[in-house]
Amino acid sequence: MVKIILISVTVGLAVISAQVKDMEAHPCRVPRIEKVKEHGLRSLKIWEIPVFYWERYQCRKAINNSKYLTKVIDEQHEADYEASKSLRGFTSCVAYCSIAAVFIFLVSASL
Amino acid sequence: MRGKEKLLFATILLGFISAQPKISAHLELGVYSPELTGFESSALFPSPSAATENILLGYGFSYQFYPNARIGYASHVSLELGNINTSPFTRTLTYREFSIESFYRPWKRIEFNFTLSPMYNTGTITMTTEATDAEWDNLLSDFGNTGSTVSRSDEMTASWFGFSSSVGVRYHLFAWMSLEAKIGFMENWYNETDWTFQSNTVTGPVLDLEDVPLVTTRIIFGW
Repeated sequence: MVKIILISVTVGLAVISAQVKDMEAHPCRVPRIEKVKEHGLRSLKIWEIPVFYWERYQCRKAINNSKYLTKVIDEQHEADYEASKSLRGFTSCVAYCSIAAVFIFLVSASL
Repeated sequence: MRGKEKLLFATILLGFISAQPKISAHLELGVYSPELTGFESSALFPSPSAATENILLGYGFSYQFYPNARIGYASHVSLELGNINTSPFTRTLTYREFSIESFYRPWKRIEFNFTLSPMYNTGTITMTTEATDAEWDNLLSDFGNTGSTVSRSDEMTASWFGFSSSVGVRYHLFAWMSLEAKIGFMENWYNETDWTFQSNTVTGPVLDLEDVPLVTTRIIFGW
């Protein structure tokens, strides 16, 4: 148990120190920001998301540009829109069943 | 569940969470209109108010497994706290949705969604009572005490299946936060004779939970 705790602490410190070195280099040149710029917001893992937003805040502060990386988010909205601008395959079946169920309920409730 | 199975389950769950970016969680405020006739007609139970009868609080999460489809879990709770005579009680009706939802975006920030949900619901009435207990009284008297009050808490529960369907509109405020409104209904196969109290089947309150209209608003965090 003690070994596991020691290994965890060592690994944690190594990760933090690596991040601190990155931050010292430049707040905008951190892996997560680079990753988002290259592959979009969806490339982040779920626990990277709050860290990314913190790093973006630090980066914006450092370069004094409150709009930095806004375009990436717009592009993500655009990509999401392209991916889901129409119902495909079985998803339309779910939509029709749902609409029919709600419609029948509303009609029967109003009678 | 044994140790190895737990480890396997945890590994799969961790992989599932870490490998995908489309999990979201929500908080919810809803309104519905059941007929809680059993509580209204009860001589002991306080009459339900609009807040305790019609308001639902909830939470849930969903996973987008297809470009325009999600599966998810949502829980809605109707809660009432009060006293029966001098004994405090809690009454909850918990509606749990296991949903499949399809959606499409006619515009960049707005989506329409359509949900079908089998439900597994539970009702619980918990009451804490105080009474004297002969055995405790004897024991405490033996130590030189006079008078004793024993406090005990117990509950009666019921569970039933249901079905819900709704249509909604979601506005994507940011990449990580959205607002949603849904309108729909739920059907409950509730039977008042299926309540359980201390492992015995008992009769509970008559509740009309069939074809209940449901309107919810949600704030959604995540992808």
